[in-house]
Amino acid sequence: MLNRRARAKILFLTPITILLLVMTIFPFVYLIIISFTDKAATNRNTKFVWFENYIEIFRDHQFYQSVSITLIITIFSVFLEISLGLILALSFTNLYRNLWFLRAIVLVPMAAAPVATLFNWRFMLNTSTGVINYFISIFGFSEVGWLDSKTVGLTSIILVETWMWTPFVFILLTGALSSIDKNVVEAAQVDGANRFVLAKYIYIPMLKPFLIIALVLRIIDAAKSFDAIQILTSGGPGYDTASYNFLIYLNGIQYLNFGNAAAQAMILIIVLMVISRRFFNRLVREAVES
Amino acid sequence: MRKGKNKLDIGIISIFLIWSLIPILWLLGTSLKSELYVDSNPPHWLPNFDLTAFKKILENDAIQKTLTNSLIIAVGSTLLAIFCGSLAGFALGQLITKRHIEFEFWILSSRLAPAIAIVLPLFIGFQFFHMQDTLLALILAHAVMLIGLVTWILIETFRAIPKELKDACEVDGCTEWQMFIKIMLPLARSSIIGIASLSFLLSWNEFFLSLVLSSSNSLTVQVLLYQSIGYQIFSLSQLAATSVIVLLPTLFVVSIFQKQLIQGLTFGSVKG
Repeated sequence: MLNRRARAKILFLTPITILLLVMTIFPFVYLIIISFTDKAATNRNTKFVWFENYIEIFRDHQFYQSVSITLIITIFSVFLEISLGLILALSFTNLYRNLWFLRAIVLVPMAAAPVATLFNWRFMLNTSTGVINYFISIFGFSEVGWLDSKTVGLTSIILVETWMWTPFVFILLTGALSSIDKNVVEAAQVDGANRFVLAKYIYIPMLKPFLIIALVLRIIDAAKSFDAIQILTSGGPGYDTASYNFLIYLNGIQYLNFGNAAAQAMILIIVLMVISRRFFNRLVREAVES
Repeated sequence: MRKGKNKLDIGIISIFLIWSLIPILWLLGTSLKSELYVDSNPPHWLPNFDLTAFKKILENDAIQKTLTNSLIIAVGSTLLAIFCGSLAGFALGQLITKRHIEFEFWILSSRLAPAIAIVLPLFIGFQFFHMQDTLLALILAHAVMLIGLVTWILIETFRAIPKELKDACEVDGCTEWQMFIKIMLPLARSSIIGIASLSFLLSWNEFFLSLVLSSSNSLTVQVLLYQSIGYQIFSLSQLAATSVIVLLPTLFVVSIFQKQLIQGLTFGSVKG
């Protein structure tokens, strides 16, 4: 027989447990099960095919293409986001002012509804009527098909992703920089340290754990990026800009190949788990120590 | 001496602000242009402040319906997430003295998992239970997307409330429930309002889950806007006007609840 206190604790945790069980654990178990079946909308008699879906994925050349596209988008956009976010955060710190209004403006691309801002990018990047092509034509450059080919299309996606997510790195790093001891910085300046010396020997070493957090969180999110691809290029031309996550969506939700898409999703989950595991261990350790 | 040195910083910040803001301003400008001005060549850099697009959009039945749907879904999922999250936050932050890290990480991991892994089974499951394309299905899916973040921040909020209050209350013989309603919720009020606003924004902005789970009856304004891009249902200035309307909650949250926005968007790894 539980005492009243223990019963209260259980009661308080019941709603969230039910919600997470029904909406994440059951679906996830179901996902694992159907990844071993040939379930599809066109297939009336679903049967277990065990690892056939998984083997099929590795035989499909589209898998390798979409993985390489995901890697390209992730590596370039995360690199740009981290570098620009760091430069911007250091610039704000050098000014020694609480420019909350400017910080609010910097936040807008990330906090804004992605469909609205992405529609606008698509409109601005339009080859014949877009303002960006007009702008570069003033300087004598010829029209660029920003969303019309693989290389340029991926570049556009990477730039738009960078536009959207640099603020994330920026706020994470400014939060960390605001806690730095001003005396250390002033002492270094008295000794004649310029901005680069300050950045190299004081700011960046101090920011290292936060840079790692930013890196891991951005890699996890960039590897799943969907909105920009869906709205800017719909994965086209052909499948030239279709990332792995986008391919799962097409396969599962558009073509209704549930079993095969479930297996693809399982592979994504496993890869993301491996990436975030070390990171989680670290967070757990910090939580225990604090 | 410092002024001269700071020129570079001011330059960097200015360039970045321009790069962040120009697309948003261009969108706003487009929404305020007449049809003929929108994609003219050469472009009209400044709008002629024609409000026809806004008027047309706000009179449109489909827009009105999807705006209402988005509102219902965002409010419903926020209430559900705050309800479950504050109960759990109180239990984990105050009642249980030992940190249940596994439980907390289980909650947070619901935010890091790829949405497709949950949405694919939900897509099949909702059809099985004849819940596809209902507002309830969307509310549940959005609440799950929010719950990790909301609970994570609320655990920290409740943990920061001094334990002495709880002990004093216990001495007076009040139950855990009374403690929660009469003492903890009022103390956490401002934090809860901030997180609720952030949740509302995230649900309102959400695209992927809604794209998969809603088709006509429960269509959100985001999905309607996306569907309209490729077709000629609305003119470009009307699409821009819809986008501007869709952006209003963002501006509200960014200007008033910046602290919670920062905390929420960085998973609480920064205190804002």
